[in-house]
Amino acid sequence: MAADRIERHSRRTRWFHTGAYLVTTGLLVTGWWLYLGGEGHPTPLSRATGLADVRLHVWLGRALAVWAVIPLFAGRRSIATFLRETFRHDHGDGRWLLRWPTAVFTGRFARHEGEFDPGQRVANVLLVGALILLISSGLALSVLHGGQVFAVLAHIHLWSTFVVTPLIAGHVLIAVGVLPGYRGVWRAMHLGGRVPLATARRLWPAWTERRLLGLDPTGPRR
Amino acid sequence: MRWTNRVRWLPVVPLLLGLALVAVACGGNAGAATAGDLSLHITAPTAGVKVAEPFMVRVDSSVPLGDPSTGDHHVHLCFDSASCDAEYTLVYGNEFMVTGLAPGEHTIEASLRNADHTPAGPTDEITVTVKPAGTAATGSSPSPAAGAAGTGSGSSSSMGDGTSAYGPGYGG
Repeated sequence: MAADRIERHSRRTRWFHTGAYLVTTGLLVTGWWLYLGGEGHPTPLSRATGLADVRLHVWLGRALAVWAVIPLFAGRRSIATFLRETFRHDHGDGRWLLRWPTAVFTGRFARHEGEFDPGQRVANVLLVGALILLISSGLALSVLHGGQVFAVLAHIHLWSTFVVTPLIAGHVLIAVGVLPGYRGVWRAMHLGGRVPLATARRLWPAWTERRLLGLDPTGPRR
Repeated sequence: MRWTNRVRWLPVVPLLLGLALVAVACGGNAGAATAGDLSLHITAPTAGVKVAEPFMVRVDSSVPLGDPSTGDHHVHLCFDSASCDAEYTLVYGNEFMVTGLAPGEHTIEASLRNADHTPAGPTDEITVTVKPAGTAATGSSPSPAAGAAGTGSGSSSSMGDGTSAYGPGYGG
């Protein structure tokens, strides 16, 4: 069965992704809890850690900031690939986007040439951009106690949260593989990162071909 | 230029970000009131009185109070020795209507907070006795922290007679 699968992401990328989403989940839970009026009423996470939700949110945010910086030192080649593949544009990307709404349910995606499909590329730009804004505004807030700068940063932090939350929700909806077109894709970041070959060919046809032919710098792994 | 060459300088970004944050922190906190300038007092009800629910807690602060998103200070109201860092009710104005306290003696602590919810320094504490509900509806007595409710802006009713603004039955 292993021969019918292909490694989509490296172990290092998967660990980075896992750490990021675990911390981000804690941030979303505590952040939305505070925003929706739960402040002063500790969450189970707060009771378990003995930290107030506000402080928990601050420390999780600092942890995410540190985590986000790691690839800048330890994964620069991956970042280069990520940026190159995110900002690529090929003939036919528009057709892929036009067919995407129905392909989500039928699995009949148009062909594209990238490591990321055109939808992923748009999501990468929006999500990474909003996360940079969210993390940097949060970091700045964590070193301030109040005042006008605090108020401006609080609004930036809040509005970037409003952008990030639906993006992450959409990302999760696609990544868990419940939509017919994305069935099997959840393995890309979990349990060895080996997705079924049929899934890879359906979602990233050109990348899969390059991998299988050994044209990818990291080499094919079947 | 290849992407690998472009990202060579990326580690500089967090360093620049860190420097920017220090600059923001220095500028952002400049002019902020120090703990010595701040004061907070619970002006009503007075300590030791008997009150009937609902009753108004009024605080007097040396700085304007507001929603944390405005950057202003605010107050954490904590009941019966609960931690003002963990279990509290937010007060964004000078008045707050309290409900949900069981009959008996209760401590009410007000803690002045920075917009980021860290302690600004001043606190004040009083003890009041909530009278058994004679005319009020009987039933459950939710925990103080969970049951306390009100509006940050509070009512604008006169405090002149010392009774009406604190709800029915107030009067010590």
